[in-house]
Amino acid sequence: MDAQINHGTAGKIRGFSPLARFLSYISCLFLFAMMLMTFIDVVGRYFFNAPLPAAYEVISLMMPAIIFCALPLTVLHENHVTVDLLDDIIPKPMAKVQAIVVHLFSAAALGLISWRLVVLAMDQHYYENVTEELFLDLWPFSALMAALCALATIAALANVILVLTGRKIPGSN
Amino acid sequence: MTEALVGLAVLLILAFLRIPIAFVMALVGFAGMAWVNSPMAALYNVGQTASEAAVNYELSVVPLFVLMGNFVARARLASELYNASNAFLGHRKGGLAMATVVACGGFSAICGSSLATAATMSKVAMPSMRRFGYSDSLATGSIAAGGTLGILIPPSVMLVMYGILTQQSIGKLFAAGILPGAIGMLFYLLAVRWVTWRRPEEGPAAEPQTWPERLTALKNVWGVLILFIVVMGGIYGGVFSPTEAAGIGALGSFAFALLRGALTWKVLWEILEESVATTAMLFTVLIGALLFANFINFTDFPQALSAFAMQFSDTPWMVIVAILVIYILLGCVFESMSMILLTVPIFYPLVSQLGYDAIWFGIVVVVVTEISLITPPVGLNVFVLRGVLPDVTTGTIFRGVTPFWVADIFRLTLIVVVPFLSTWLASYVA
Repeated sequence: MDAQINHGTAGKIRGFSPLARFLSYISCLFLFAMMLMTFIDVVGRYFFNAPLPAAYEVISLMMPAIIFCALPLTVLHENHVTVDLLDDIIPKPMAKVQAIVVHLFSAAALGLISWRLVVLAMDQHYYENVTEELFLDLWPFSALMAALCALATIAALANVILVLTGRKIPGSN
Repeated sequence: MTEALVGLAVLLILAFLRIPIAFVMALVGFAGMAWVNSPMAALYNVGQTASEAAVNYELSVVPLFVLMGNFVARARLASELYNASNAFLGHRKGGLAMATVVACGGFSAICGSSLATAATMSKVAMPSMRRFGYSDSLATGSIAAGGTLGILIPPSVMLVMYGILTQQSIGKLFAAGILPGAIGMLFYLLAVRWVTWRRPEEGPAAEPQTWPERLTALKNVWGVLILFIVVMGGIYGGVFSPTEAAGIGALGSFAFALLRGALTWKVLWEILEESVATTAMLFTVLIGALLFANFINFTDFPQALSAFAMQFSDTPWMVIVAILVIYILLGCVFESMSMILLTVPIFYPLVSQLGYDAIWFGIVVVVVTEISLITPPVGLNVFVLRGVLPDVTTGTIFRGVTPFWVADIFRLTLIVVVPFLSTWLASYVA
């Protein structure tokens, strides 16, 4: 909650930045829908004795959509929490190297998570895992999370290129 | 034991290189797990943990409370709160700073974020404190410190995360936060008192308002009251689950913002985008912290730590003091949420083994985190104020915050020594 929101000087990347932004809009729609759903569910239950069917499950499945749709833009804008105490000490020429290391590390972590989500999706497909109430196949959700996380990985790699080409200046945010 | 210590050391080094703390925790957690368990187990753990943290009904309170806080921040409820507390306190010495603290407390009751509270209040309270000739240090100090109340007074995203990590009732934790939050407010008022007693010129009195004026000002805070009563009353009364309460609170604050004409399509999108960005950021930290915690729990570090702590089983308070010192030190460097997610899985088992109450420890952890928000060198609330008020130096704000910091240390001591303050209200929640 109490994170620094420092919008990086995100250079526009043709095709990719609009996609990340579009996905963030999708995430917004899911969040708004989730708010409405909890409300309708409660009103339905207490006033009409008719709660939304499977609200519990639908909401738990909306959560990954909100998180992972917003992730690529979050990575692109460098909205993640960092310890930036040493920023003033690190000499200017090193700042660029440091920024590249940072983005490569981020890409590695995100790539690892994407890969393991793909494997999870494959396992769920193989074992035909379904949700408890609606009996929905679980693997497509994991596969979607994996795909979106892969986009976030690309965003981190894009940051490396932006730093290398000088379109994103480290320490300017 | 060695593995865990190496892991912690690598984690600190990488974090200081400015790599996002979430990714550091994820990678170190993964590598550590591969080392102490097996690479296969470590790989399996990554997919499973990420999916379980994301596909999770209980955690849906987080985005909803974040959304509620962002709506509230834009609904201009803050200025009414400030006007009302001002009407009652403004004529005292330092009264405007006192009003700021009280308004921050009221705002915290509907907003779970410290930064949002500090940012919103600085826009509302700063102009009038300047107009009445308040010193910059007292004015900004009261806002930065008042803002920290946001993460303790419910709804609190921080307490939600603690509840999920330790499997404690979020309703109980919220109830437990009320009294310590009120005590925090009271101590801050005393801090203002102390400053104006030492240097009266820092906070001159404003002209008193008449009772009709006061009542009118008080009438305007009904929006805040309704939101608080519905959300918190709903949780305490067992009418809503925390998720339902968060959904209703978010919708209620949306309605308020709409009714007050504070919402255009553009503003609505901004609020939503800000909320989902915060959510994505929080959950990445959560996933990273869980991966790291899984690694630590697989080593013999927790056992070694508790064996060490049990040597002090006759004087368990020494362990608590040691933990608090560690928190204050970490708080100088780490952002509050990552600090909690990183440390609670390590300290919580220890503390409960020593026989301490889990709810009480949650409150203690959050209070000590609040202190970190105004502790140099990276007190985040101070930097928020710097952002909003570029003409005030960081040094001035830290100087202004000092009396409040001292008040916080007194409060922390009181809450640690008298657990009853935290557990009493919680005991009424089913």
